[in-house]
Amino acid sequence: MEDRKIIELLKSVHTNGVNTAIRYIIQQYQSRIITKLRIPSDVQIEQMFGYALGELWKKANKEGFAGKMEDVFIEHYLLGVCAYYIKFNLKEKDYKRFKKEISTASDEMIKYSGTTILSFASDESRMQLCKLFGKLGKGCQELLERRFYEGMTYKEIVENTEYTNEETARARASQCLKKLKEWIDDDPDLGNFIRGLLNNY
Amino acid sequence: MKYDTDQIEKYIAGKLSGAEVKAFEQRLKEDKDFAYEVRLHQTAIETVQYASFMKRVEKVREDIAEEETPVIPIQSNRRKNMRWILAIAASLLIIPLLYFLIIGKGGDTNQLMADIEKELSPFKTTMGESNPDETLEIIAKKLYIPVKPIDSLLIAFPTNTKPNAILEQLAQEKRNLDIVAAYKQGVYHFERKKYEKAHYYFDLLIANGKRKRPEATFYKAYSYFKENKIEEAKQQFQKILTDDQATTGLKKRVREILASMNS
Repeated sequence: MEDRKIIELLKSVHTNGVNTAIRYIIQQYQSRIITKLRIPSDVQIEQMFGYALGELWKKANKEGFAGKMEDVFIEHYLLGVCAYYIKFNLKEKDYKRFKKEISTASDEMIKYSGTTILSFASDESRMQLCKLFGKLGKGCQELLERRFYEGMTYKEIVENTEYTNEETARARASQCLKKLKEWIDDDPDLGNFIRGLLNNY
Repeated sequence: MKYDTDQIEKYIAGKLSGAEVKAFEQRLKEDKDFAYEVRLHQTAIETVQYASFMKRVEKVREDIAEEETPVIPIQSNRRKNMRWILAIAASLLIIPLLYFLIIGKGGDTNQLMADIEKELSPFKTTMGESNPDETLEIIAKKLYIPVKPIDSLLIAFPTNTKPNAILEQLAQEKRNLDIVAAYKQGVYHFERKKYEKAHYYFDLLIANGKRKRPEATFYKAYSYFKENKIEEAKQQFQKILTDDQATTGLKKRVREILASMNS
């Protein structure tokens, strides 16, 4: 499958399309990338590749990455994100050791990564955030998913769900998001992470 | 303090006009609380997106793993499965036994081995019915996915690496050899008559000596047999007879094979 087609599917609003793209990327690229990078033992490969997939998805949706970006194709992009992930999650000493060992992941690749706030979060923080999201009720999760993941408008949400009017759906989504924000804010580590981001302004 | 979340969302989604963005960013610089609120809001939205996407990734991984799961699960409920294997093996023994009694001479050696191989193969369904249009490379890639991540590390070693060197390397990295993965790799190459590559994984399992040693030895013997290296095959079968990990059922059947080969 061409890179362009994969990206189209990844951007698709239909679950089947997205799943096909995810499946193809995992089957086509995961082992290839693992072969190219000698991954340090303390790195969880599925977690790393999941993160790389997430970054690619974000990139595809946010920046209109059409399969080719600055002469970098999906494989290189994923390689770069994985290399970045390893760099970010390893202590400096370990990273030097890693860098010495790898043959293909270079600083060139590392520069193609980091498009979201969560790119700057540690693995633990990302997992903690996912846990907090999981703590929300099923109704909240589905509503927020439709709004912020699938990108539906409130009008579309009303058409596709049991919500009877836009205002109710909007108010409920706002409530759910508020609860999630409170939990994030109450977590000392996550609070520190966000405060750390303020220097970027 | 209460902030206008609609405006924050528009800013995050890049939907504010030029002038609005300018004013918004000016406020970010001046008002630290507002800046914190924006980052918090952005983090919450990205959490929703990340968690939702990861759910899909997880689901796809599960689907792939399910498709690739062998008929006889190897990792879980091992004892229970071994009991089943033994039961099947025992019941299958009756057939060659009857054959011996009725015909009065050794059975078809190749058939005896093929019967055992069928039971030991981890790819009874999906791999056994591989699509001829799929390239070897694609099938191999599929193979790496459903198993634990460490499986894929096996392919990072050049194929001429000695088993002990790999085990040593894994020990240094405080990892265990993923036996299921190595076994799958071996059988995969065996089924495609790539015996040299298959031996690479079987030797690794034999040197590791923890699990799947008799099975790996059987496959090694069978591949020698297929290559018409009868003496080497016999030597490997003999090893199964003295292997304390081999089941009584397997040993009995190997004895039959040896008898058949000698007749």
